[in-house]
Amino acid sequence: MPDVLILARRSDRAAAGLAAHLRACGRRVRRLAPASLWGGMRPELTVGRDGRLESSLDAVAVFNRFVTPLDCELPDWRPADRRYAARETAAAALAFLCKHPAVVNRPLPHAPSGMGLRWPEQSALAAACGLSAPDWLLTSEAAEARAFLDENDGRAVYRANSEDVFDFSLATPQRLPLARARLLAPVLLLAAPTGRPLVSTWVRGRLWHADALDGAPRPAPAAEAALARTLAAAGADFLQAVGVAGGHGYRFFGMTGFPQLRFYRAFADEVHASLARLLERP
Amino acid sequence: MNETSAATWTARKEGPVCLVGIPSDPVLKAVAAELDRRRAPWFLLDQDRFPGEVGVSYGSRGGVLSGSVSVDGRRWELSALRSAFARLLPAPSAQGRYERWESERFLALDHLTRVWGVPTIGLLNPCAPNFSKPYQISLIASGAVRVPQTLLTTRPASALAWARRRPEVSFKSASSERSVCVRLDRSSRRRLGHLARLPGQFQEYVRGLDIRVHVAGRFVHALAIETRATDYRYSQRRFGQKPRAYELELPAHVREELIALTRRQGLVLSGIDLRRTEAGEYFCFEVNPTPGFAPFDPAPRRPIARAVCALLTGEARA
Repeated sequence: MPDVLILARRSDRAAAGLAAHLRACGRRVRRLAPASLWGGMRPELTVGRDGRLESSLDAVAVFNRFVTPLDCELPDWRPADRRYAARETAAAALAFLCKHPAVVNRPLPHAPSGMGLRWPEQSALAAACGLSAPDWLLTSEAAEARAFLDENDGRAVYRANSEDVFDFSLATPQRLPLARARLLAPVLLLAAPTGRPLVSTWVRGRLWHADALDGAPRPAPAAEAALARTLAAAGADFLQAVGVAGGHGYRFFGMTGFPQLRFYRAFADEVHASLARLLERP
Repeated sequence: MNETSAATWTARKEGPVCLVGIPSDPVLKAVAAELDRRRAPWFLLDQDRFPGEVGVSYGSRGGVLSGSVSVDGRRWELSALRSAFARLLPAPSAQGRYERWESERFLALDHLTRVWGVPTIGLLNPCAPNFSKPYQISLIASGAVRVPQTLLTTRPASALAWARRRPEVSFKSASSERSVCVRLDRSSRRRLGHLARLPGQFQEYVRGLDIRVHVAGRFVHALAIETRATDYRYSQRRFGQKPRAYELELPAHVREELIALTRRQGLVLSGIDLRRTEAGEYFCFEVNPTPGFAPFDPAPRRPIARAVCALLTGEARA
């Protein structure tokens, strides 16, 4: 039985980094790609008449990097059947991982480590925790989007509400089809204040900050405390937040339950040690 | 964040009720008809006309939330809405960039009322437990209601061995998709080889009377359904006849448990599949967070639609 089961895609560098750290510490690690979980480990789960759930997933702890329905290696199946298979495997994984005693991160659907907590909820959570967030607009109406850009002197970014927090694009009339009366899909616009982008990595109670320049900036203490409250309230142990630090102070731009190694490489040993402790004593 | 649950439900006494979904949905039709009967104003955000004739814009400026919706050029401020009832249907199969657009459309409508504190029945997030049925039933069992023994496996031999130790076994999806309950018989046993590639969910087959329960706040409506079909929803297709259905009263302790169960799942409205055994035990198979209650709502009284609309108009508290 492995000490830690790592569920992650083969290309996941954060998972690879943690696996190397754990092995160097003498822990037994098994790494599985999403599509290999069922064929590789063949776990079973039973529920009794009293709701008691028992699982044969034989790992002391699980480091989980699945955030969306799982890929299935079923090339000979029709697309609709593959999509169904992905939902089935995700539903099964949710049952296994939400009841296992030691999982970082649990894929609870309403948490950023699952499929929930998009920007409108994230910004509301940040505000409730005393954290500043940029002005934003989610709209399907081109006139509203144009007005928002004008209000912000054309300084805005846009991203898909359904996609990862790091995928920003500069919002310009050329990029957005604002000449149309209506957009083909709603768009999320965020005002872009001047300042330095800051990525903060959170492992239950501890924060590390990094930017592209010197790697060691910090928000003001009050903002850092508000950020910590926001991340603690988000419902996952391992998170990354994006913000902008400038003359206006710190502004929160979102969080993800899928932290990326490139933003904590400078403190990777500390982050890995914290994750290892969580996986040892959940 | 202001998610609506039974614990926080307080609909305003004025303003229109916003219905979200498609106009041909029988549930939305029933709710609209009941709102008309109560002379409560309402409008429909037609999911199929968004974006287009239906528009939404919402956001935050200087920390102040504001937003509006428009239908055919008429606009409503979100702050003026009395309540909302959402029946968002899954997007049709789309691929590539269209798949992303469908996600964006769906999320934009789902978030519409969530952060504004508009009391809403049918938000996406409380649906979460239903997304995984084995996870959901592990949260359901209580003193008053039991759940069927369940196995989730990718091993055909395990499934067969488990099935042999029980008189009858059925299987169904673990997710909320293609959720049809089928008896494990000689024919379906031959398909167990598929398990090697995809986990399957098996349940002990509990014999008894099917009861479809709808909970809306403190209101509970139970309909007994007599059918020979394993899954009563497919009785007509399987046997060519509609199941016999009649209203019945549940014991008080079961009613209270189902109200509590609905609240525990973060819901105001739920559709619950129960079965009562000859010994008088109640088994719960799932809790549907967006129940299609129209076929179970006896005409002409429509007690479920009435209870839902009493919540939406602020005449009843959850």
